[in-house]
Amino acid sequence: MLGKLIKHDFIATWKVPVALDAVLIVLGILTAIVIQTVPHVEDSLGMSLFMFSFVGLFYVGIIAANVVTIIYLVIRYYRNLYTSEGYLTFTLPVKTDMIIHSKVITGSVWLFLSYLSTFISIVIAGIGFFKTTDVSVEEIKAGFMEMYNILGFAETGFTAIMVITMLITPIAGILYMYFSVSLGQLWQNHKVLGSVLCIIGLYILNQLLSQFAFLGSGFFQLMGAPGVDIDTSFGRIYRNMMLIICILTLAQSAVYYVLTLFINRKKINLD
Amino acid sequence: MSSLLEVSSLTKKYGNVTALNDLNFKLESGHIIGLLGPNGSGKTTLIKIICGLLQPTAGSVTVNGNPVGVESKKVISYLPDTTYLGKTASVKETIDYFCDFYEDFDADRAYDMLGKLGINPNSRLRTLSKGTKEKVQLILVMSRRADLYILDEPIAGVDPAARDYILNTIITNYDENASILISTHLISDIENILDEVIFLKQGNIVRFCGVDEIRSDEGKSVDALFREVFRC
Repeated sequence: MLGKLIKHDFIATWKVPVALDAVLIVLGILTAIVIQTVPHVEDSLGMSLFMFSFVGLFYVGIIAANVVTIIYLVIRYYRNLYTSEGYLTFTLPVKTDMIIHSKVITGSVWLFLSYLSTFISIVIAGIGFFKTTDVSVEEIKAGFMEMYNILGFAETGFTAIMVITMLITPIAGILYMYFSVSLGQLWQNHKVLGSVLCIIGLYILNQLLSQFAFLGSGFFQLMGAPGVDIDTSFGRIYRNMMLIICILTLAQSAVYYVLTLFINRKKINLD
Repeated sequence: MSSLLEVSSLTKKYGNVTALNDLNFKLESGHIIGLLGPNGSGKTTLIKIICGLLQPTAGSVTVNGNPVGVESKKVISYLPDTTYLGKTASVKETIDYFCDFYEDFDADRAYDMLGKLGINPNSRLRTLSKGTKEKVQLILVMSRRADLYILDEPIAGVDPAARDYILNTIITNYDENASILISTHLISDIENILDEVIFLKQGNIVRFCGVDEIRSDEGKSVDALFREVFRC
């Protein structure tokens, strides 16, 4: 049954996220073309303004596409579960847990693809930029390898932490949103307002927790320590920070997951 | 052998307001039961608890001996008092959806009923009128071979011709071993098809009896008795 729920959720939701991902990649390609073309055109001031405007548009487009994807998924979750559509969703002969699992899986996939298309579009635009410079592919590679070593990717386990963090980030994002919406449904009245306030409240809480990641990274101790190499310090701070972020994200996701299931199993009343 | 539906000491409160007050009753198979009461009497609340959409404050509900859950939902076909279908899907996609989730769903029967009403299965639900959407929803619900059909206000807000169609669809499409629980306050339209009635007043059952009993003992129609019991 979980497979069927996921199938129907993908069928019902694919158009908007796929369209937004496609727009992002097209925007990346156009940005690359503009960046490459403008330096060869006369009237450099006007064209430079055009290029900067276009790069700005690309930047805004990235933010907008990701925000719209999340808003779309949240609205879909709310409608499908807590409006009249919930009368069908919650009377299907499946466990409530399965309904939530299907929503989390499809939402996470769309969010992951949104992040992936963002990354691809930035890479495309970046290639366009590097082609206008004298920097060779070898030099770019060497730059990346240097960063790779400074950040400590070569160290045992760190790459695994990065991969886990990248994979759980969309899941954590979706669980945070879905939990906020579910929590808002416990309000007697003004449930939508309740959900929005929960999203804001949890966002503030998340920001406070991420400060712990910064403090726990040893930033102040390492940066102030005498005789410490700046590259080594930066790499160590970054690794500490990523480890703490990874643990915090996993812990938060676990809490959101358990509470979302509990609310939907025991507390939901479709008025 | 357990009853088809058993409601025991069921209470539902919204804050200080008691919507259902210690309800106890059983329904057996093969009956059409009218759940009758004025607006705000608790009909929809009772139905939602049976269907698992509301959590009771106290008491329990069992369907074929099972508590409300996956097993009860397998045998209940529920028609809410509002449109519960997504707007973006087509009628055909909705039928596919029901086929996937309900083992007892008869797609041929659904297409047959759609054909008789001249509804194109490829139509998007958002392009259909409210009345047509309600008919599609009724077709989906009545195309299941369920043990218990729960219909919440199936004839409210539709014209008399549509009411006839809806009632005819209900009568001709349910298995004789199944039961139908119909909630309504438009009693005169449905009293001819009812076997039993439950009168619900301010969350309490004030009467649960057979329609023939009302006619023979009281010498009244269900509609007349309803007007008497619920006189303002």
